[in-house]
Amino acid sequence: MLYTQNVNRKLNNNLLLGASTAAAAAMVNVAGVMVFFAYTSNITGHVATLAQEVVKGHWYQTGIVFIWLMMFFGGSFVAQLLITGFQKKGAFISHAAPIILETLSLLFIGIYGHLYYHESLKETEILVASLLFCMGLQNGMVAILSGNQVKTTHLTGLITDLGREVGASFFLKYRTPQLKEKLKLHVTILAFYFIGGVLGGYLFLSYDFQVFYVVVALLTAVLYFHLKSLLIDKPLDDQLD
Amino acid sequence: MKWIFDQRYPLIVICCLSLLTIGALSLVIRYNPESMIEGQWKETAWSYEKIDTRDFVYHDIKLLRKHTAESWKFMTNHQLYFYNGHDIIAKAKWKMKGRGHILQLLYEDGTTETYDIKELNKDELVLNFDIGMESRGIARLVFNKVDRP
Repeated sequence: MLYTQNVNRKLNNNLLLGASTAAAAAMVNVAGVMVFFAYTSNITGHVATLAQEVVKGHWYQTGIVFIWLMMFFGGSFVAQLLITGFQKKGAFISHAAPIILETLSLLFIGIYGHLYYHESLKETEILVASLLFCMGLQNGMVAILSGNQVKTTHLTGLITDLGREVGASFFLKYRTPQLKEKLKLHVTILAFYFIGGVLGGYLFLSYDFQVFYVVVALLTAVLYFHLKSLLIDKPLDDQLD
Repeated sequence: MKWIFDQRYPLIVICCLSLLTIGALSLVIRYNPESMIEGQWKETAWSYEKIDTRDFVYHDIKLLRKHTAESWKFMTNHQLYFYNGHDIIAKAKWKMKGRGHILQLLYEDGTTETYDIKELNKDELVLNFDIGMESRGIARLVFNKVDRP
């Protein structure tokens, strides 16, 4: 699911990647809202909040929200650097590097939250920043690998596309296989984001910070399938080489 | 636009982003809501807002612990004492969440109250009782600073 990039990707690759990462993002976002009172996978609200805090002259909050935005930006930036920087070392390392970093970061957040979190404001802000970094990393990686077809940490663009596609599907001349594929992809991502959100909320209420271990397990499964595809199946990159 | 393709471009971008981040960090270091809230606050107003009917207020207010305290004292160790005159009438633990815009009070009986901090400066504290992430609140509490802890 990770080994091909851009035009080489098939629908199934995008479906698997989109569904798994959307569920992971939703679990992180819901857990973030419940424990930290801050969204951790979508930043549109943070940009609006930044403007609001500037207007109100709340400089502390302005600084915090700006740092959070920079962390999301930094995650996507690092994803691009890792994928491009490791390209010569092969598809596995190059494509898996961001998700390995994200998995390790989420594991650290899970362990810290589970064992050491005292609910101080500083800890809360640093953990939210770390989660935003992870989500930037994931969103960047998914966007790069799917050639901008898939973004899984927020749904504004996705629901816009979905509305447009459903509208287009009302006309016979636009009812193409490509449109059907896009609809299938977007509905799948939306469904898995919702399922991930419900599951994340339920698991957080029952197991607190240990919900992050479930996200880590999900991302590890993504890595496992990536490795399996690379070792057992013949990756498309190699076929092309 | 030639400079964009210059070899120094990554360095320029990193420097600009670092400067912005350092600026934001300096704001964060300068102000600290947790330190700002510490001390004694005298309740000066209690009002309701954004309510369509008064029945809603009376129905929901049963769920809300209406504080009869005249003043709240936030301690450095995250203890909160509610005073009526010189008497402590209730105790709770306080925590700040989000970007320092949420105040959570945990009472000894295990109940929790969550407030939106609408304003916090050295003189004034305004709390809205929170009924959801995006709510404007149903109860508005206004405090003035009495002294530091």
